[in-house]
Amino acid sequence: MIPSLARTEYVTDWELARRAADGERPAQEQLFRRLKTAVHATLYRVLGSNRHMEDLLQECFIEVFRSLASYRGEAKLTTWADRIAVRVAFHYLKRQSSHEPREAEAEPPSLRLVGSPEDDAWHREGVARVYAALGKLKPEYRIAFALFALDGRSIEEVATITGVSLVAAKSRISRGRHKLWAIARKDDVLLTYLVERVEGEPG
Amino acid sequence: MNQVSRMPGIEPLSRMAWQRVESRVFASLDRRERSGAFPAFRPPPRRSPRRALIGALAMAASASVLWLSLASWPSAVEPGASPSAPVAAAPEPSPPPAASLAAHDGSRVATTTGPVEVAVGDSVLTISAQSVVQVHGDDSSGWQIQLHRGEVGCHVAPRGQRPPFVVRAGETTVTVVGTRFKVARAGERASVSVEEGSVRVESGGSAVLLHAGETWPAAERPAASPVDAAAGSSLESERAAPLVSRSAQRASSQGLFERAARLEARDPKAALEMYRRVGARGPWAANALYGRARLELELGNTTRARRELELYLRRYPEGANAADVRALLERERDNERR
Repeated sequence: MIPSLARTEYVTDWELARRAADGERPAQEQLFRRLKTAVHATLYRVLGSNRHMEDLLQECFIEVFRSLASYRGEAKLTTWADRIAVRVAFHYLKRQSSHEPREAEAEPPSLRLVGSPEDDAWHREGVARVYAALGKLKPEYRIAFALFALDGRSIEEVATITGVSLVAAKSRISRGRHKLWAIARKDDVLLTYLVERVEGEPG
Repeated sequence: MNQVSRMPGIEPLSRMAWQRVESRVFASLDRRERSGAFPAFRPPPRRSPRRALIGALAMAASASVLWLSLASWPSAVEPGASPSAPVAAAPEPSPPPAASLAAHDGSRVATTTGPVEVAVGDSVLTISAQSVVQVHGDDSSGWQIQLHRGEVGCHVAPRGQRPPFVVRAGETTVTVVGTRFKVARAGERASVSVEEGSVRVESGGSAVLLHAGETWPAAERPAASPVDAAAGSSLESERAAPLVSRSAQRASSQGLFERAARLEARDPKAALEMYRRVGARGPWAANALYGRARLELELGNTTRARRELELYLRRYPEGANAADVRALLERERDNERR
């Protein structure tokens, strides 16, 4: 009996990508289902609650399917898709900064948190201010900082996903962080929120 | 550096919203597939009619020459074993070709007059004529292929987090993550050639990483003759061979393209240079030009990117990526107007 390729998650990723690229609709649908949570999470962490989220997800997935031919199975499919999501987010932020400088891109997050109503309100306010402050950062700094500080990725992962060297990733995270704290020093609510959740200010 | 603790979870998208996204994505997919806008998955390399004919003859001959033993491996390999015959037919490109036999831990495969394909887990070995191979291990503990004589082509599915796939030929060890390569053995001498991906070759206390298109050892030798094998060539001459492959300089354009694609994230400048080295001719030139333009764009070199995108359209107006190139150019023009 010839073993199936679908023995492990990793091999399944590669096989699924191949079948989807070959135009098998069930494989394409499965690939969409497999990636949708990861792609959405990456976009959300970088951009926050955003009224363009559906359009951005659509853009991401069209790019994913368009680029499947380049997937070599050397990374997990989700990591590979994260790179695409980050690229889409980057272009979106670039467009936002050049075309619609005064448009408020972020919507107040409507998520429910575990805790008292006061805690929930405080979280929502804090998160909204974090993303408003991130909106003042250069897209590359914002993306690197958000992936590292908000999404909990390692510096190596940030470098891989954003396609830069380790040194560049570290520098971008650091610059983003310094800029965020500079903004927070003029915003008491944001400052309090960050102090509560970050172990110490940058030096 | 610090990470924000207790960040609230991801705000979920409603089911309706996901349905909208999904239907729009697949509608777009249908349109693009109809127009042929998607590039094919790993375009197969060209295969000469002569090679195809030799392959067909060799495969037909292999039907009657396989001896597969599930018994334990004998204590010693035949000392006067004849050297390898060249592989007549390389295995097809990914995915691994269907094999007629599956090997397990302890399987021993000996071929006589023709090559045979054997499945090892989800990988496939193409064992040349006059070769002896033994298989150890399993998918969870890792596969170890012992080449006792002859030549074996390996088409290894990506290993991911699983233990590596290892081929041993005498004192030479080839460790692979996911790739296509060949190992040949004549007496105590071994040689390795990589068709896709990369492998680590260890021999005589040294190690070298080989990429697609490269061979080891560097100095190419004609296939060993029976006289060489009978004379028992020593391993010392093998150890003296330089471990840096000269053939790296003439790696195939496909190999260059694939390496450039892998390098994009880690070293975009080197990737750009590698795309340039693919050149303006050959089956990979269009892909390389597109890759270069796209990467320049990502690096923010818009003028250079535009020039290359326009060059692509002049050279390949009906190319696989022409629709994407037009869309990128349009977007850049929009950005410029704004």
